[in-house]
Amino acid sequence: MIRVEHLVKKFGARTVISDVAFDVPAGQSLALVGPSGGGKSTLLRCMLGLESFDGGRITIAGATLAAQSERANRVALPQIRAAAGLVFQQWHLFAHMTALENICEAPVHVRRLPIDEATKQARTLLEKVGMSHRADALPRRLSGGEQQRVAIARALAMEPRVLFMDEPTSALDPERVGELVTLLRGLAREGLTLVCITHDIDFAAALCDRVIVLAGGELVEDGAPAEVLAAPKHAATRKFLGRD
Amino acid sequence: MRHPLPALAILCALLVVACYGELCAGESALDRVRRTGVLRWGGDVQGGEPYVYEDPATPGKLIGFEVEIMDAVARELGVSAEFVQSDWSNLVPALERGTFDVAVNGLEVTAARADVVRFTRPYYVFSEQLVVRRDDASIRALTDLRGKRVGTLASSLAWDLLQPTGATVVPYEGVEEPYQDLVNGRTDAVLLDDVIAVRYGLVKPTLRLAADVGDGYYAAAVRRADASLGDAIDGALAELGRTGELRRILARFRLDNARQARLAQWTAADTRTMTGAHQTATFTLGHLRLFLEGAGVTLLVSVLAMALAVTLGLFLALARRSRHRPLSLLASLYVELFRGTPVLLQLYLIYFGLGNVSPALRLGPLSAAVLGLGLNYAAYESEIYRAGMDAVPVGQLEAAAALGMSVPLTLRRILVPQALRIALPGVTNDFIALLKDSSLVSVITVVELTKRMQITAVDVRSYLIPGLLCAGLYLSMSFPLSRLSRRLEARLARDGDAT
Repeated sequence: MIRVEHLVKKFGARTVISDVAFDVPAGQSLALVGPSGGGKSTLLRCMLGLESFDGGRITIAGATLAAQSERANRVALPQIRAAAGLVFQQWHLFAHMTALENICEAPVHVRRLPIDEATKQARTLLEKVGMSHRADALPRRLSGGEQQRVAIARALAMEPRVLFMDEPTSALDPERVGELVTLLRGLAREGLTLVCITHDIDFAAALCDRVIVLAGGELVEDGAPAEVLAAPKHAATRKFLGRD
Repeated sequence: MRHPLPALAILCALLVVACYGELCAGESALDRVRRTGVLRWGGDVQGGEPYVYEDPATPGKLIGFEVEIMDAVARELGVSAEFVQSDWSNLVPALERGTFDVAVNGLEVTAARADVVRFTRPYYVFSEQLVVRRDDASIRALTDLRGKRVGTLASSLAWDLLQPTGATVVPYEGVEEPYQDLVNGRTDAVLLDDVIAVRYGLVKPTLRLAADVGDGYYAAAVRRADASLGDAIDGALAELGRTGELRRILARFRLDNARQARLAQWTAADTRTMTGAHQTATFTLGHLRLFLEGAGVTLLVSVLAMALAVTLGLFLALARRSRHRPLSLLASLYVELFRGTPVLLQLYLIYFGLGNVSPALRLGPLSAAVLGLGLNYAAYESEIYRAGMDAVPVGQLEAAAALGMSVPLTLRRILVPQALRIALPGVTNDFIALLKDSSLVSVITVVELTKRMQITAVDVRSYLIPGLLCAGLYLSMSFPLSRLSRRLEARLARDGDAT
């Protein structure tokens, strides 16, 4: 589903991702963990074309973005964005629209779904994320957890094959994390590929079948959660896990 | 007040000045002129040739037929003349305030002026000349003007003469513009005195003199209280007329003609006829109707100009955000250009400037007013929108991109709706400002509320009632607007809080 090859990203003279490569098969749940500034968010932004990169290739659902090939990327990017959904750390709901309108926006205007149909789908999704009772609320009247669930529903409304999430647990109370894990597990069971950036080792262990550790812009660890967390090979991982 | 001392000092100073004024009041203006040996007379150098103007050969030296006449008058009085520069339109108020002793600058003797100042006998007899296009044979007299557009200076004798003709009178503030508009076909005729008509109108090859429609007089004006000074100047002018010096001065400036023969035989009875026998106009329902019409023009120009400004401003703001460099540069240039130059100049260029370039660009006064104000305010609106757009979090735009929304779709659905809400109070505020700025369009002959007030104030000899009515009408237009904007803001805030 996802293939990252020799990815290099620089900000000026500073290299923030150096030669990172990995594959994610369809249906897998992957956690991207690592210390702050390790390059996780930048990697995610590169994968969705929100950031250009300086070397390598990224292929998602058959469409390929490559460094220094803007013209080809312009064709590939819409395909990637059609196949991938993204839930931002700060959710970034459209502030002037209700929860329901946020979810209907892209299906109606990008996929050209009739409004009735889009609304019906949106109500189904709101029920799925447990937000039916807040359908007509504006984002500013929603709590962080509520906004997150609307943002998940908004991404799912475009029927993505892979869902990216940036720090999904950072704004949640501990008891809400459990609900999120349940929700995402259900989605994974339906065949959705999941890529979560997270600091939260417990969350990663509870949800994902694979963990990749990024530190200093390099991929330093890759394996099942149990083995990475139990026997970290790299010094940076041990430090990150607080095992030193 | 924390420091009463300075205020007390100012009060004392004022009292002293007032008492000094009282003491001096015993001395007549003529006595003071004789005592100081100086006759101070006011005029405006901008009026140009042949009245009072700078000698092209000797910069700083004033020449003109009025300069020579006043030098001769002062000589007759045994004093010397001293010129005081004053804006022409403020000549009479400045005289009343005492800035100078006598106003002499092509002041036509009109009923309105004769009510507030004491005119001397005339020093020049002019003829009101009706000028038309050479190819237009339909106008031969004032009676042919019904339904025509006729240009002149507001509050002049010609203005008074045109009122009963049924013509649409177009008021100008300069002497070149009315003839230019006549050449360009914006008006059908121009009525102004022969000094102006000969120098600015009849020099144009496509214009011709249709008729002399009546005589008028240039006379010196003194304060009504200064009768003895008026009498003394009358005496001096009579002497200059008797000796023929007056006509010799006029001849030097190519102003002498058969009409001036009357100056030598002028009597005190003639002066009474010239200045007397007219009823004082008062504010009537007819004036009120004209005021409401003026307010209608103000509202029309403002609404249309604002509609243009908010639309064009939005495109400018979007263009400035564009990643297409030339486009954003062009938009920035536009904003800097229109914000950085006076709107008055822009109106002039659009109305008079473009009109001379090509007949296709010859806009009517109303269209030029809407275009000029609209283009200018678009620059300001675009800045308000830009601030509004900057206030929309970038994350929402990235979220839209991640959902596969194109850039134009994101602008239309996400950025602009939110930016407009943020910008709304600023835009409403600008609309109120525009409502008042619209009075500037009177320079391109649009008679809106403020211009109507100025014309009426001269008619009825008072600024008080017309001024208050004018202010009331502006308020009654702007107040509902500011209420509306409050309510919109409140509603948006409430929408924001809806659960």
